Amino acid sequence: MARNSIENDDDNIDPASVASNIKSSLKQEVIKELLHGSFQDNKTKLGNDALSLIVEVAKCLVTETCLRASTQALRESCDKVELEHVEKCLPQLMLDFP
Amino acid sequence: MKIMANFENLSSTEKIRAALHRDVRSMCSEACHLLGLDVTKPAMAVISELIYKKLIVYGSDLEAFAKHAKRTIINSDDVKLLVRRNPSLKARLNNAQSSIKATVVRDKRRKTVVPVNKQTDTTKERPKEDEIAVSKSKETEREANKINDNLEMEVSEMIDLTFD
Repeated sequence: MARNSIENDDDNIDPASVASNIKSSLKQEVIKELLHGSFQDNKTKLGNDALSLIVEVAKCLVTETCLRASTQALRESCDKVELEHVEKCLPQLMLDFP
Repeated sequence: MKIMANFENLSSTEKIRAALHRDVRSMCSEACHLLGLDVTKPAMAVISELIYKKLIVYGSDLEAFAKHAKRTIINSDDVKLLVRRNPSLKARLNNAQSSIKATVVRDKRRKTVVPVNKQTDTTKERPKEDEIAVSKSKETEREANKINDNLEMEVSEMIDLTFD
Protein backbone atom coordinates (compact mmCIF):
# COMPACT_ATOMS: atom_id res chain seq x y z
CA MET A 1 0.00 0.00 0.00
CA ALA A 2 1.02 3.59 -0.47
CA ARG A 3 3.19 4.84 2.33
CA ASN A 4 2.38 8.01 4.15
CA SER A 5 4.88 10.62 3.05
CA ILE A 6 5.31 12.12 6.51
CA GLU A 7 6.02 8.85 8.27
CA ASN A 8 8.12 7.48 5.46
CA ASP A 9 11.24 7.10 7.52
CA ASP A 10 10.93 3.70 9.13
CA ASP A 11 13.06 4.51 12.17
CA ASN A 12 11.21 7.66 13.12
CA ILE A 13 7.92 6.67 14.68
CA ASP A 14 6.54 9.08 17.18
CA PRO A 15 4.04 7.05 19.21
CA ALA A 16 2.57 10.09 20.94
CA SER A 17 1.73 11.84 17.69
CA VAL A 18 0.14 8.71 16.26
CA ALA A 19 -1.84 8.08 19.44
CA SER A 20 -3.15 11.64 19.50
CA ASN A 21 -4.07 11.52 15.81
CA ILE A 22 -6.48 8.62 16.12
CA LYS A 23 -9.96 10.04 15.73
CA SER A 24 -12.10 6.95 16.16
CA SER A 25 -12.62 5.63 19.66
CA LEU A 26 -14.42 2.95 21.59
CA LYS A 27 -18.09 3.43 22.44
CA GLN A 28 -18.67 3.99 26.15
CA GLU A 29 -22.00 2.14 26.03
CA VAL A 30 -20.38 -0.98 24.65
CA ILE A 31 -17.69 -1.01 27.33
CA LYS A 32 -20.31 -0.38 30.00
CA GLU A 33 -22.43 -3.32 28.87
CA LEU A 34 -19.36 -5.52 28.70
CA LEU A 35 -18.24 -4.64 32.21
CA HIS A 36 -21.74 -5.09 33.60
CA GLY A 37 -21.74 -8.54 32.08
CA SER A 38 -18.52 -9.39 33.88
CA PHE A 39 -19.71 -8.41 37.36
CA GLN A 40 -20.62 -11.28 39.62
CA ASP A 41 -22.64 -9.15 42.00
CA ASN A 42 -25.68 -7.43 40.53
CA LYS A 43 -25.40 -4.60 43.02
CA THR A 44 -22.08 -3.41 41.62
CA LYS A 45 -22.37 -0.17 39.67
CA LEU A 46 -19.97 1.77 37.53
CA GLY A 47 -19.30 5.45 38.11
CA ASN A 48 -19.19 7.77 35.11
CA ASP A 49 -15.63 8.97 35.71
CA ALA A 50 -14.47 5.39 36.19
CA LEU A 51 -16.09 4.39 32.92
CA SER A 52 -14.33 7.12 30.97
CA LEU A 53 -11.00 6.12 32.55
CA ILE A 54 -11.56 2.48 31.61
CA VAL A 55 -12.35 3.54 28.06
CA GLU A 56 -9.08 5.48 28.10
CA VAL A 57 -7.19 2.38 29.26
CA ALA A 58 -8.83 0.26 26.56
CA LYS A 59 -7.96 2.85 23.92
CA CYS A 60 -4.36 2.84 25.14
CA LEU A 61 -4.30 -0.93 24.90
CA VAL A 62 -5.57 -0.92 21.31
CA THR A 63 -3.19 1.80 20.12
CA GLU A 64 -0.25 0.29 21.93
CA THR A 65 -0.90 -3.13 20.40
CA CYS A 66 -1.22 -1.61 16.95
CA LEU A 67 1.93 0.46 17.30
CA ARG A 68 4.01 -2.42 18.61
CA ALA A 69 2.73 -4.74 15.90
CA SER A 70 3.45 -2.05 13.31
CA THR A 71 6.98 -1.58 14.62
CA GLN A 72 7.48 -5.32 14.39
CA ALA A 73 6.16 -5.34 10.83
CA LEU A 74 8.50 -2.49 9.87
CA ARG A 75 11.40 -4.31 11.48
CA GLU A 76 10.67 -7.28 9.25
CA SER A 77 10.16 -4.88 6.34
CA CYS A 78 6.61 -5.99 5.63
CA ASP A 79 4.00 -3.50 4.52
CA LYS A 80 1.17 -5.44 6.12
CA VAL A 81 0.61 -6.04 9.81
CA GLU A 82 0.02 -9.76 10.04
CA LEU A 83 -1.08 -12.01 12.84
CA GLU A 84 2.49 -13.07 13.57
CA HIS A 85 3.55 -9.49 14.24
CA VAL A 86 0.81 -9.13 16.82
CA GLU A 87 1.77 -12.46 18.33
CA LYS A 88 5.40 -11.44 18.65
CA CYS A 89 4.65 -8.31 20.66
CA LEU A 90 1.95 -9.94 22.75
CA PRO A 91 4.02 -11.26 25.72
CA GLN A 92 5.63 -7.91 26.52
CA LEU A 93 2.29 -6.19 26.06
CA MET A 94 0.65 -8.50 28.55
CA LEU A 95 3.40 -7.73 31.03
CA ASP A 96 3.11 -3.98 30.53
CA PHE A 97 -0.65 -3.81 30.87
CA PRO A 98 -2.29 -4.76 34.14
CA MET B 1 -18.33 -23.05 8.28
CA LYS B 2 -19.04 -19.35 8.54
CA ILE B 3 -22.09 -18.01 10.26
CA MET B 4 -23.09 -14.78 8.61
CA ALA B 5 -25.55 -13.68 11.22
CA ASN B 6 -27.92 -10.78 11.24
CA PHE B 7 -27.12 -8.34 14.05
CA GLU B 8 -30.66 -8.60 15.45
CA ASN B 9 -30.42 -12.35 15.81
CA LEU B 10 -27.26 -12.30 17.92
CA SER B 11 -27.24 -12.89 21.65
CA SER B 12 -26.33 -9.91 23.80
CA THR B 13 -22.74 -11.03 24.39
CA GLU B 14 -22.27 -11.55 20.68
CA LYS B 15 -23.72 -8.11 20.03
CA ILE B 16 -21.25 -6.58 22.47
CA ARG B 17 -18.43 -8.49 20.86
CA ALA B 18 -19.44 -7.42 17.38
CA ALA B 19 -19.75 -3.79 18.43
CA LEU B 20 -16.37 -3.89 20.14
CA HIS B 21 -14.88 -5.57 17.09
CA ARG B 22 -16.17 -2.79 14.90
CA ASP B 23 -14.67 -0.05 17.07
CA VAL B 24 -11.35 -1.84 17.44
CA ARG B 25 -11.19 -2.43 13.72
CA SER B 26 -11.61 1.24 12.92
CA MET B 27 -9.00 2.20 15.53
CA CYS B 28 -6.50 -0.38 14.30
CA SER B 29 -6.78 0.52 10.66
CA GLU B 30 -6.47 4.19 11.52
CA ALA B 31 -3.40 3.67 13.70
CA CYS B 32 -1.65 1.51 11.14
CA HIS B 33 -2.55 3.76 8.23
CA LEU B 34 -0.91 6.65 10.07
CA LEU B 35 2.30 4.63 9.90
CA GLY B 36 1.67 3.78 6.26
CA LEU B 37 0.91 0.13 6.89
CA ASP B 38 -1.99 -2.19 6.22
CA VAL B 39 -3.59 -4.46 8.81
CA THR B 40 -4.87 -7.90 8.01
CA LYS B 41 -8.26 -9.05 9.26
CA PRO B 42 -7.01 -11.85 11.54
CA ALA B 43 -4.67 -9.40 13.27
CA MET B 44 -7.57 -7.07 14.03
CA ALA B 45 -9.73 -9.97 15.17
CA VAL B 46 -7.01 -11.05 17.59
CA ILE B 47 -6.60 -7.53 18.94
CA SER B 48 -10.34 -7.13 19.50
CA GLU B 49 -10.54 -10.52 21.18
CA LEU B 50 -7.63 -9.48 23.38
CA ILE B 51 -9.44 -6.29 24.37
CA TYR B 52 -12.60 -8.25 25.09
CA LYS B 53 -10.86 -10.72 27.38
CA LYS B 54 -8.84 -7.99 29.07
CA LEU B 55 -11.91 -5.89 29.77
CA ILE B 56 -13.68 -8.84 31.36
CA VAL B 57 -10.69 -9.40 33.64
CA TYR B 58 -10.63 -5.66 34.44
CA GLY B 59 -14.30 -5.85 35.25
CA SER B 60 -13.91 -8.59 37.84
CA ASP B 61 -10.80 -6.90 39.28
CA LEU B 62 -12.57 -3.57 39.62
CA GLU B 63 -15.53 -5.24 41.26
CA ALA B 64 -13.19 -6.87 43.77
CA PHE B 65 -11.43 -3.55 44.46
CA ALA B 66 -14.72 -1.78 45.06
CA LYS B 67 -15.92 -4.60 47.28
CA HIS B 68 -12.71 -4.44 49.30
CA ALA B 69 -13.30 -0.74 49.86
CA LYS B 70 -16.84 -1.63 50.99
CA ARG B 71 -18.43 0.19 48.11
CA THR B 72 -20.85 -1.00 45.46
CA ILE B 73 -20.01 1.77 43.01
CA ILE B 74 -16.73 1.55 41.14
CA ASN B 75 -15.01 4.91 41.03
CA SER B 76 -11.88 6.36 39.48
CA ASP B 77 -9.66 5.34 42.42
CA ASP B 78 -10.34 1.69 41.62
CA VAL B 79 -9.25 2.22 38.04
CA LYS B 80 -6.08 3.94 39.25
CA LEU B 81 -5.40 1.02 41.55
CA LEU B 82 -5.78 -1.26 38.55
CA VAL B 83 -3.06 0.54 36.57
CA ARG B 84 -0.74 1.17 39.53
CA ARG B 85 2.10 -0.89 38.06
CA ASN B 86 2.35 1.05 34.82
CA PRO B 87 3.53 4.58 35.72
CA SER B 88 3.10 6.10 32.26
CA LEU B 89 -0.43 4.76 31.95
CA LYS B 90 -1.14 6.12 35.41
CA ALA B 91 0.12 9.56 34.42
CA ARG B 92 -2.02 9.46 31.31
CA LEU B 93 -5.09 8.56 33.32
CA ASN B 94 -4.40 11.37 35.77
CA ASN B 95 -4.24 13.81 32.87
CA ALA B 96 -7.46 12.45 31.43
CA GLN B 97 -9.18 12.68 34.78
CA SER B 98 -8.10 16.25 35.39
CA SER B 99 -9.39 17.24 31.95
CA ILE B 100 -12.71 15.51 32.69
CA LYS B 101 -12.89 17.26 36.06
CA ALA B 102 -12.15 20.62 34.44
CA THR B 103 -15.06 20.25 32.04
CA VAL B 104 -17.37 19.14 34.86
CA VAL B 105 -16.34 22.10 37.03
CA ARG B 106 -16.87 24.49 34.13
CA ASP B 107 -20.37 23.10 33.57
CA LYS B 108 -21.18 23.36 37.26
CA ARG B 109 -19.96 26.94 37.39
CA ARG B 110 -22.08 27.89 34.45
CA LYS B 111 -25.12 26.43 36.16
CA THR B 112 -24.47 28.18 39.47
CA VAL B 113 -23.54 31.55 37.97
CA VAL B 114 -26.57 31.87 35.74
CA PRO B 115 -29.28 32.18 38.42
CA VAL B 116 -27.28 34.67 40.52
CA ASN B 117 -26.35 37.19 37.84
CA LYS B 118 -29.09 36.99 35.26
CA GLN B 119 -32.33 36.09 36.87
CA THR B 120 -34.34 37.20 33.87
CA ASP B 121 -32.35 34.89 31.65
CA THR B 122 -32.97 31.80 33.69
CA THR B 123 -36.57 31.53 32.59
CA LYS B 124 -35.43 31.79 29.03
CA GLU B 125 -32.57 29.43 29.40
CA ARG B 126 -34.19 26.61 31.26
CA PRO B 127 -36.57 25.51 28.54
CA LYS B 128 -33.67 25.74 26.13
CA GLU B 129 -31.71 23.36 28.25
CA ASP B 130 -34.64 21.01 28.32
CA GLU B 131 -34.96 21.27 24.59
CA ILE B 132 -31.30 20.55 24.22
CA ALA B 133 -31.62 17.55 26.46
CA VAL B 134 -34.59 16.28 24.47
CA SER B 135 -32.89 16.84 21.16
CA LYS B 136 -29.76 15.23 22.53
CA SER B 137 -31.66 12.16 23.59
CA LYS B 138 -33.28 12.06 20.18
CA GLU B 139 -29.90 12.43 18.59
CA THR B 140 -28.44 9.62 20.63
CA GLU B 141 -31.44 7.49 19.71
CA ARG B 142 -30.95 8.25 16.08
CA GLU B 143 -27.26 7.60 16.40
CA ALA B 144 -27.95 4.28 18.04
CA ASN B 145 -30.28 3.36 15.21
CA LYS B 146 -27.64 4.38 12.72
CA ILE B 147 -25.06 2.34 14.57
CA ASN B 148 -27.38 -0.61 14.54
CA ASP B 149 -27.90 -0.24 10.82
CA ASN B 150 -24.20 0.11 10.22
CA LEU B 151 -23.46 -2.85 12.38
CA GLU B 152 -26.02 -4.95 10.65
CA MET B 153 -24.50 -4.15 7.33
CA GLU B 154 -20.96 -4.70 8.42
CA VAL B 155 -21.74 -7.81 10.36
CA SER B 156 -23.42 -9.41 7.41
CA GLU B 157 -20.45 -8.34 5.33
CA MET B 158 -17.51 -9.45 7.26
CA ILE B 159 -17.63 -10.73 10.79
CA ASP B 160 -17.03 -14.39 11.12
CA LEU B 161 -18.52 -15.27 14.46
CA THR B 162 -16.91 -18.64 14.69
CA PHE B 163 -13.83 -17.29 16.43
CA ASP B 164 -13.14 -18.70 19.84
